[in-house]
Amino acid sequence: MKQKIFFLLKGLLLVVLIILFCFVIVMPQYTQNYQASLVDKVNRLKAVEEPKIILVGNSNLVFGMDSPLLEKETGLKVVNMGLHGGVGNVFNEQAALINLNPGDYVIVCHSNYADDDTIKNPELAWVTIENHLELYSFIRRKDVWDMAKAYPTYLHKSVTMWADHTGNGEGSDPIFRRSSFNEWGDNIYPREQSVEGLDLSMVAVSQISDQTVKRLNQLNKTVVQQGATLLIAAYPIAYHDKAPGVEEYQVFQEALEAKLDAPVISNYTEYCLDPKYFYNTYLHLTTQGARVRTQLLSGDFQKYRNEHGGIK
Amino acid sequence: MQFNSLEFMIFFLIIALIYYCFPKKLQPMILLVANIIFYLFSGVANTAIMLGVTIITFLSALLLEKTLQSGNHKRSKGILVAICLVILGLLFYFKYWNFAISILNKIVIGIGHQAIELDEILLPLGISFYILQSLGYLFDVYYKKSKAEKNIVHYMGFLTFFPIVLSGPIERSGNLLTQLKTVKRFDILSAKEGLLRFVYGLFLKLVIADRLAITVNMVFGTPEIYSGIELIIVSMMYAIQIYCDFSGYSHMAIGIAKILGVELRENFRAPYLATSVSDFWKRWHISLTSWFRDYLYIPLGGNRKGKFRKYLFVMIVFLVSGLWHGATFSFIAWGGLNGGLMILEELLGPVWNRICERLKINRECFGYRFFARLKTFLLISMCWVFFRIDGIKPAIRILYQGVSNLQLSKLFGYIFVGFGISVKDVILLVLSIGILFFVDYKKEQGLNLIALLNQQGICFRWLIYLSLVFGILIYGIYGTVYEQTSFIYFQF
Repeated sequence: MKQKIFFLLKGLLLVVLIILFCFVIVMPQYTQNYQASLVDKVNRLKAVEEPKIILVGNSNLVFGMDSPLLEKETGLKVVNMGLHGGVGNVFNEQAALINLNPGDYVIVCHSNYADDDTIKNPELAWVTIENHLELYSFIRRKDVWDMAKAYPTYLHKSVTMWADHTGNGEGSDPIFRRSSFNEWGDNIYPREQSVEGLDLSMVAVSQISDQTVKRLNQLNKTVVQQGATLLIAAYPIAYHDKAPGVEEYQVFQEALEAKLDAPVISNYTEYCLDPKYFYNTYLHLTTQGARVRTQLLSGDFQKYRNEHGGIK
Repeated sequence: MQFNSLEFMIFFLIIALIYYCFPKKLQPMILLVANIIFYLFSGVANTAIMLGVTIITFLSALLLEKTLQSGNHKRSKGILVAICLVILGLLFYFKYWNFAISILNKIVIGIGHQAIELDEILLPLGISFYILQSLGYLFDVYYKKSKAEKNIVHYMGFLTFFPIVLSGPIERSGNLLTQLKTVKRFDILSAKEGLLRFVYGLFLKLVIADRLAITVNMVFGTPEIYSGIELIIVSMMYAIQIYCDFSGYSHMAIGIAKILGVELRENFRAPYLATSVSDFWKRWHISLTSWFRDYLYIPLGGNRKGKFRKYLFVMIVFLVSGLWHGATFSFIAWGGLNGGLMILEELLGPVWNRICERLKINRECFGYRFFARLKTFLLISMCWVFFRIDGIKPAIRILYQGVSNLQLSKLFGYIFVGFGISVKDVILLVLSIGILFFVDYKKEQGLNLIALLNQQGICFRWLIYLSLVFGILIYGIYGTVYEQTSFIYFQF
């Protein structure tokens, strides 16, 4: 019996050595990457204890917000938790729960309301969280298996970079670096005008799925229970001659208002912006476009606050 | 569920714990449930087919034995033939129906009629393996080499044994069924050996086979742009790839079984150290070649009916073996080519013996054996081209290009630049393949490397374990991005 226990202990030691190798020696390999900006965002979120605005969504927030301007106009601290849409709504929404206090406002700016309630790209989620334990709360229990299955793919790439000493580099495109984010979580790489060949063909009105609605309503319940407020706001929409008509967005908004418990504070048609405000994709804005969108959001938020009794 | 997947490792950990922690008398049932759960990952319909084959052959064996005991040999032969037709009919439908229809269509179109539509038939995983295993069992009962199993749990455990159900080794009832009926206690030495074999198999698969596959797939995808010498080198790379892929799987299967206290038969015996094609076929996929020898070649007549019939039977066995591997003419051609080479070797054997005697060539010296091994390796690599390439004509074109557009001068530069392999990858492959041949060579000399390792001090042993494990972690090709993480023999 002693021998069997000793054998099992040796096996356990081997497993521990493998885990230590992976999590301590190899990881992280993406510390200067765009996704690594989440570490800074979470640090800011945890540091701000007074009532604040927490922006939740995909890269329409990263490349579409002027958080200092929003802070100035609302008088509240702002934390832009926007991240790569590739990880999916589910991952991005977890940001709402990290440091939620009474009086906080969580503003959700999704561009897609028909997700399948899973982390869209678990490998990208691993690139984001790596061995930063404080980010592991972004993974729900039901996502653990998908993350476990994706780990070998992430590990293989990381190990290759570790072995070749090519990891933790800034990458060739300066816009997608951690250093291109400001302390609020906005990407501040200069985006003066649209890139050549900007493709806006993917502009479409989102479907609304019951799964997404159910999850957002549950999130609303949790946020409200903690004395905070969940609000739904619009995302920037590139309005061009081949884009869906404004009436489609009106119908979409009405459906969203009917299904979601959280208030929808934006008029989606007001967010139909001139294509000149878009930078390199149908969700990313130029610097000027980000200011325009921020002003719209600020107006929506102020209007909501005035209608609901000011600052709580 | 593949052995190199996270799902399998968790599955096996749970099964091994339950297997050894629960009352020993429940082991056969636990194993059976594990087998069924394992196979369910390939689909409910496929599992039903496998269980159907199991039940049919179980009952047939009992009926066969009863009929034999009554002395009615004619009736028992009839039963055997009928069951074989049913089981082989099932295999024919899943594996060869569309192939047969496509051949028929060539005739039908030729006479001006419309082609018959092909059905969408999905091949159940492992069907080629477990059907041969069940047929082997029936033949053993018929020839009274084994008694018919009366316990359905034991028999089902034998036929559906999860380490081997998908890609062999094809076991005999005398070995596996006997073992499954005895109680197993956890043995540390067996567990250590099993784990080491599993990890070694993983090393062969992930570090060598899947790394070679990147280049092989790239070159064989567009062979026309490569020189003859490059195609020859890649053919040899494929020969090593398929060996590491399949033997890697076999090592993993044998390792898993060993942890569960079951000894499976070896499936490979240093095949690329063979000195002739016939020697190669005594070392490659031993469980399949011995199956064909015992249940096809010998019943046909073997070498008892004169040389001509012997060669004819050899050719039949190899053509059937080719067809067993896949329902395409290129697999049949591969089988036929190997059979032809074996026959040619035997025909030319006496001539070569006389030449060696006249020239006083020492056939036991290192130089001769090296030449014989190299020649065999090159011939087998040539045959593998038909195994790898879809279609006989493309395979012949590659071989023709191999000799007609040699461009030997490329050997004097960095030839691998055309394959997109870095110097680091080449060094890694050379070292890994060196380890492979070292292990095979030592086994050939009769050395039990695992027993030798167990005799060493703890520091040296752990150095080997950690080198293997971290070698796989750092240099293995894994992750969902890589298609070649599937085992080649799963498609059969």
